[in-house]
Amino acid sequence: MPKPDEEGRKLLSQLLSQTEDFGGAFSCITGGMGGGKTSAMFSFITYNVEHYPSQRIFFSETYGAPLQTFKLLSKLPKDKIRFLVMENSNVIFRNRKKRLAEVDLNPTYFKSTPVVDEEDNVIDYKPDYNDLYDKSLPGHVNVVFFGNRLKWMGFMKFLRHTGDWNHIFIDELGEIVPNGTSGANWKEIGSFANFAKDIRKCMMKVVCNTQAIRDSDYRVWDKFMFLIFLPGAMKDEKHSRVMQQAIDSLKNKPYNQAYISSKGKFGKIMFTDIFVPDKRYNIEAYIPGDD
Amino acid sequence: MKSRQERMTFEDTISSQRALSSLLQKKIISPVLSDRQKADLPSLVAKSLLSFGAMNSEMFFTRQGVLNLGSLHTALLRQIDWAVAPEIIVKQRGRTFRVNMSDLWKHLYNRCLDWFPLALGESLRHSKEVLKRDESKGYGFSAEEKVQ
Repeated sequence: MPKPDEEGRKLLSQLLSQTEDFGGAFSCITGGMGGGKTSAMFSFITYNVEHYPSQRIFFSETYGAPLQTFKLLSKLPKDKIRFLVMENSNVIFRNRKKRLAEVDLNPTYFKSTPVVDEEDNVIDYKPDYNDLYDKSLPGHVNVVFFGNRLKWMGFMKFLRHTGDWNHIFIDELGEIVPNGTSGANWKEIGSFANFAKDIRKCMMKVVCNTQAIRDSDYRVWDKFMFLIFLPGAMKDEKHSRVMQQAIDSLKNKPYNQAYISSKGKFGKIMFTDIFVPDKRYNIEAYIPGDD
Repeated sequence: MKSRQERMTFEDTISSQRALSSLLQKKIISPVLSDRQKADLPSLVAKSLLSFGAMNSEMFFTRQGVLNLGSLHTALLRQIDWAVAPEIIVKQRGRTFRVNMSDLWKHLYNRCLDWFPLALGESLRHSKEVLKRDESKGYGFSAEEKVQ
């Protein structure tokens, strides 16, 4: 029987490698609150900045909560982080410790085109993905705000055609492909789930995190190629052989331990990079009227 | 209040003792014990079992470890069942003990109710130590080092 450490290393290598054998990957990190999901994701982000400086990294943050991005400053210089905001998205940044005073993070704005109804009323704005891609920089962490997290599905579909290796990191997957939708959203998520099975062939590494996989649409669950279980995670009997007892025995000191699982195999890993909040950790992205 | 594991140990001990008695009835060979052996035998039995455990750690200390007491007991019984060699050698505290298996079986049959919980307890403690020592911490991932 292979040792868990060795199996963990092999699976990590597959997740991070860019050989033709393994191609892209669609992965999900799951764990309880404070279980180290964001830190694990930031370890992968930092790894890619370090080892693949010619490739683009996109990060999807949540709204209305302190921007996790600033924790990256524990490992990356400030100029490696860029904020990109869609025009007309109304996204602003504000400081939670200064009575929500607006903050200028000097973002780069990318274009959008209006979507109109039959009476020429503007009902939405469509991101110009080409402009976004052109304005993003390789070897940097491009933190993108569309003003609507569902638009990340369209952006990921766009990225499959670029012909470059791209890395996408999504905090709180349940907000991108929420469970229990209906109508147009349900169809869009179905289309994304259909596309997700091809991520491996599209030179894309997609890493998501969520407290519980059930927060996301069930049609996406079968598409994960790698599952990473951190302390506090719930087992996923259908897609992994990692047992709840094993997850419950994971330690988070001095480092977060985790099980990585793929195609019936699993191994144990440990994230040794530590990310701590920066003094600007109190800044949040906000869409007026989105309360 | 006893922990769950202690309760399991007790319950499993009772059932394994019954299984052991049944097993031993088929195994007795006429024994002759020296006085010295008689005196040392209770601790020898426990130690010899520990010795078996150490020599065959994979059987005792599976990845599920001691939490799976059922398999631990099964493994113990198997060790006893397979111990058909005429004698075993146990090294403890610089001394070498030679245990005649015939004597061992006799003693097991006569005193199993006395010694078995002790041996099991020691086995559990020992296995916990082994588990702690061999516990996997996981492959250490750092963003600075490329994963090969």
